Amino acid sequence: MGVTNDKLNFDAIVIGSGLSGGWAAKEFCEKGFKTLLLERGRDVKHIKDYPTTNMYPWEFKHGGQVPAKIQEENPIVSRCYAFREDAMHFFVKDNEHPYVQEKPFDWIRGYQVGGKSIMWARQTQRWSDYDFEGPARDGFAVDWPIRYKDIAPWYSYVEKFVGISGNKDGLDSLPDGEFLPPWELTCVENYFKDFISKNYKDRHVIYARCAHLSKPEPIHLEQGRGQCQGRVLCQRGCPFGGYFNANSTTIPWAQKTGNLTLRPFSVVHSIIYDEKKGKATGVRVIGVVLDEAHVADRGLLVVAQRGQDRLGHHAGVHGEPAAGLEGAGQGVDERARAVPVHVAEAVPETEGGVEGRFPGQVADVGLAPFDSRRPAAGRPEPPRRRDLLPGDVDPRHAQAALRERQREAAGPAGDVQDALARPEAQAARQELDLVLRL
Amino acid sequence: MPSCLQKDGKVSIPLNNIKVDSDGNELMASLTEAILPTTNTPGAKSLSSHAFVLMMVDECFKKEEQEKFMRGLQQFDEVARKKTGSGFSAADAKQKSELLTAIEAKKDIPAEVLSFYNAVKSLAIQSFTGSKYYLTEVRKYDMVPGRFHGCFPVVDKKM
Repeated sequence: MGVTNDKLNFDAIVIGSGLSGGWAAKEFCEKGFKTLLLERGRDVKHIKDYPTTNMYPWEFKHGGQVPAKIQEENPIVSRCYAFREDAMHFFVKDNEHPYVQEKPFDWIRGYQVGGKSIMWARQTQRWSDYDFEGPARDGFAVDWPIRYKDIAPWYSYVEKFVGISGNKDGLDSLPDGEFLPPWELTCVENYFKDFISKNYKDRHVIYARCAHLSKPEPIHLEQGRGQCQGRVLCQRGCPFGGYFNANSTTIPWAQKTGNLTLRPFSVVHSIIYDEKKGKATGVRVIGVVLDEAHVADRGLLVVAQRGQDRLGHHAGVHGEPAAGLEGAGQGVDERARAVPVHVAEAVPETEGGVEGRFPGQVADVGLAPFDSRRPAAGRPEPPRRRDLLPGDVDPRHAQAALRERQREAAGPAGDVQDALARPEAQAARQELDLVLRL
Repeated sequence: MPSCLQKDGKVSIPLNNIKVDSDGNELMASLTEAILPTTNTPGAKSLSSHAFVLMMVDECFKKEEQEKFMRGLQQFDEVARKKTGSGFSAADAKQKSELLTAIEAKKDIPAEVLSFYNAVKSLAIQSFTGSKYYLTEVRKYDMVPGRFHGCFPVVDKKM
């Protein structure tokens, strides 16, 4: 239209177009709200913008490996298993995304429409009341305001639309959901599963639930998606829509309603706060031009950015300038803290789970055993968090206590021992402890 | 760098981080061909495996690994000269085979020659099993559908 500083008015504004933002946009649009979906990065259209999706293994110059120069320049993102030659164009490079690490934190991101939903690990385990009651039970952090029964119907609502492959295992630690058929376990995995169940009453090996269309239902076909072909090339974007990402599912669904305005290349500078009304009324966007978009009086504003949650920061809620925009004050105004802004956070994938891995699952760029192409998400998972049940002790805490006791007992020479006992030195040890606790 | 690696001469592929002259290039070509000989199926020569090996070392190895590789290349050349008299490229098939057998057996072989040889071998094999020839003619790579078999009988080929 050529109009630059136009005031744009919407019923709802969603910041971020990944897993959470795509869902928010879908929900608003379905309900008839004129919705603005803002994305800081470029557009990625389903199928059209997956440049490597149908490339054969021999078409990659380095056989899938990331050249040393790129790895050296990007130590953080290089630690992500999916940062490989076939999908590295979807990942934010370290220097595009500097941030302060108070504690080690690999913040792996994608600045594009669909965000990291393109390259996520597709693990979709339900939380149970052990998780929701954990903080209150063990006395840490803040009690969840909800319990499993409150969220269970919403899990079902999402699972039916997304398509989740899994078994009904009947475990109270990992509640069953709306599952499409699972992939099979290998004989070695089955042997291990049987061994564990013979020797432990409270430990289980299951096929992990994952967001793959093992057998699409009508709702998935209606989305334009098809059956997962077991290509194991998910991180490139799937031309079949065989796994769930925002690009193939929620965003096109929202677009079909005619209510969605998707705006890529739009970094949100700040949320506009109306002192008189005492609420957020819009956003200031740095795009090609500086724009202001406004929500209607009773409109909704959703910040769907995954912040440095494990560090206790929400990039979208604190007033600190976010990465890559130093001084520009991206994020929400300080004032907006007390504002009815809905913060939708992507739930971390299988956080804290103790996962088993078996050599049968080798993905690479598809060079590996051709008869083992099970979507990477299909690994068996012993569903047991280290601190899930009452009386459980997180080994990390136990080790810290043990170190303290050892240091006291050892006297001054204990400092050396203490240095050896630091997390870095302990990493290998800890791996072992985890294996032993399966 | 030994004098034998300082001669002028062009290498068939552009390298940015390591320096390999025409002798080194020829050595790499004959070594990869000895590992993966061209028979009734394509070998290292027809797949330009040596170029793939050098490109991977040049672009995917860290600096220390590149230096180690180049020292190994130089030492491999020296060992080959000592054992064959002529150097690896000019040696006959029997001499080449004897030298590689000795390396495989790790008999009196300097550590950096071993690591150089193992790097060349694994990259050469990668150039073969990752080639279009292998993935269309030998073990067909199907883009779709991918296959997954949870159980597969193990056949003892020696039987």
